[in-house]
Amino acid sequence: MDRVGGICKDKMAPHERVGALMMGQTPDRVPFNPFAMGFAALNCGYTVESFYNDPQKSLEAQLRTAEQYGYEPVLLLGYAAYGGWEFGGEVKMPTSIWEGAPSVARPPVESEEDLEKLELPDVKTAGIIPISMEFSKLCDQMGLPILPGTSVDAITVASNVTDVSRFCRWMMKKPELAHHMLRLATDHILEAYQYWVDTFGAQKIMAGFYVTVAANQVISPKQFEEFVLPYQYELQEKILAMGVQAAFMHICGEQNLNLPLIQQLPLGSPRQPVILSFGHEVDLETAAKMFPDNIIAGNVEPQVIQNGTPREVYDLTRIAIEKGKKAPGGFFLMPGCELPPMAPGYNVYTMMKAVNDFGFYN
Amino acid sequence: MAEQKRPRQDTMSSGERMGAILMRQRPDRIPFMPFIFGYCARNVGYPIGAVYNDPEKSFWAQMWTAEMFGYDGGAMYAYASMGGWEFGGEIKMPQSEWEQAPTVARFPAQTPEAVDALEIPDVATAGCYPIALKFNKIQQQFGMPIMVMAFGCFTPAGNIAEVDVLCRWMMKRPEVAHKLLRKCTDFSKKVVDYYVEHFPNYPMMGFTGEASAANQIISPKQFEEFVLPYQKEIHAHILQSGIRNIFCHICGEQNLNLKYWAQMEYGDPGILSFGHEVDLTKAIEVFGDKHAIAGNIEPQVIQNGSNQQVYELCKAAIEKAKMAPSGYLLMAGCEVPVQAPPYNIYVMKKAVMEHGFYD
Repeated sequence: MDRVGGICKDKMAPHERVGALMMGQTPDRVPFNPFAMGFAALNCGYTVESFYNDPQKSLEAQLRTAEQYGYEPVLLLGYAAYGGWEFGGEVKMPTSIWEGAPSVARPPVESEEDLEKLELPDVKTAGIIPISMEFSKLCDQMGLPILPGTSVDAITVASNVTDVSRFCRWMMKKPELAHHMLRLATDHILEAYQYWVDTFGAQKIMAGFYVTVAANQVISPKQFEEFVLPYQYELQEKILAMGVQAAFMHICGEQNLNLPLIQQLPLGSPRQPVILSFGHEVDLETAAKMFPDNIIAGNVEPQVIQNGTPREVYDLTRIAIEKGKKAPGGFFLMPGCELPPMAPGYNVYTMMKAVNDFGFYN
Repeated sequence: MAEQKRPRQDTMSSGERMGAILMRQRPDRIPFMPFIFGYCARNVGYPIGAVYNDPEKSFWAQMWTAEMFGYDGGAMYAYASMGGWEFGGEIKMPQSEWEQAPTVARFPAQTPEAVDALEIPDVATAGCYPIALKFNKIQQQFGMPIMVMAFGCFTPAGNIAEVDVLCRWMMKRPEVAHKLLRKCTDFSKKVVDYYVEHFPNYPMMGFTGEASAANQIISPKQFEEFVLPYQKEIHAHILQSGIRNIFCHICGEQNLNLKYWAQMEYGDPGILSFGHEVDLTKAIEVFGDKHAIAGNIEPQVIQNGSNQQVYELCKAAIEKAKMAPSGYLLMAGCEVPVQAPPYNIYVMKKAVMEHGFYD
């Protein structure tokens, strides 16, 4: 892709820049990915829904939007509400301007009896997997890294299957049910990853680890220790052992009290780097200090990108770059979570502008 | 998009490029002026109405959007519903996602008696002019040329009486239509005089246009009687006032009116922009020797078309008009729709960078 115009004074192509970062080298400048999903669809004249149900449009939208703004594409067709549809419930695709991503319309487990009857779905046909697999095949045809659409996030998958509030009650009142659900979620995720590895080979795959519902806005660090750590440990250990080339881990939301526990998770090695992305709630200097061997990513507040002035976005981005550039393991500029679909385009442009103004390494 | 040519680098700034067009010299590449207002507000996170009722936000929304997409031409204040508010009616600023520009909420003169009673307003206080003047002062602060929104005749008359009332008068009470057009023309001249007085020796360009005179609304015969003499008078007055160039937007289906537009002055050179209904080859044939031609990418395609369709339309327009003797500017055929996908504007620039260079 050749960009036209703009403010770019890059010395490296996007893939060279990300490659340097992953190999522990210093790139020409801080790489930037705005975590743009529904935003990319709207930017190209597609519906937000098409990002999730039309692999071709999803890929085009992601590549074209990256070209337009000059950022580093990280291609993904997946969603945070993963689990509900895949285990037999119903999903609602985003159709109005107030919906940014798919949501669970009917969770497959609404009672203890439902949980007893719940079986692992066929990974070849479950929910979004066939769509995401088609997307991965398109990426593969273009020689691009493959990020499976299955969320490696047992507690979030479990919560989407049962409904978050019900799952939280079970964690407190019927922990055996919560553990049973987490076991199923973990087994499903591993099966799905094996399906991707069997299809493409592990070396083409970049794994996507998440701990979304594990944020302290939802659960306590004590609950994290009991209900997240063992399952997430198992998942990350086994998926890294499959031989995936790298991983991206999004540590979503308020996770400050969980950070010492997250330190205990398998977080890759120089030969198998794991990028750790943080929400705006976790200071980047804290993140860099606690995870010195990992690439740190984040953490411009999405709400500010949507509602803030261009100056506010520029300043926040500058601060993130100035902090992140000092991370010993390297830094990847990102928002703190998905870019809001209705964010003003100019605010994304100002993020790129801040990268050009402050992100170069010499 | 699987695209063709490797992009080139500009060798002129936007100001130099536009200056070259106005000096009848060949720029490095064709300029790209998308004709974009409410879109800019949306692009920077402002409500669309801010482009029309907040001079500071309007200016910066336009400048920032121009910077982001790298297009030429600066900011300007204008909208098509002028007349109603300026002559004492009411305006409705765009608020919902379905409104892209101001509309007349109450027409000030819908009877012959009301037309008789209409007084020529004071430019300094009439309708949007105080806002436009503040906007122009900001432009002046930054040393940017000012586009003088010269009001006009037929379209403002339709915004004062309501278009269907004006159309009935043209057929049944032509003397009333003429009386109203006279008043609009006199106000236009007053606007020009006001700008010349308040921005002495400052670089300015006249901005005129005709939307309601399109053949979707009136016949060429009606154009000859109700538009030509007044529009001609306004253009002559602009140029006699010392403003050297006129940018005239000939909006919509105007093929049958072109012979009349050709009878007007636009300066040396003028810039004439056309809707997608007028073929660029025809526009160049009629006006291209004397004036730069701009246009004419169909706005509906910019909003609803695929990225590839927009690119192809721009490429075809550039290939058709690039060698126009007095220059060519790529533009939308009318205002870029507020809800147009950003990538479609990016591909317009991409087409310019891949096909718009002169060497």
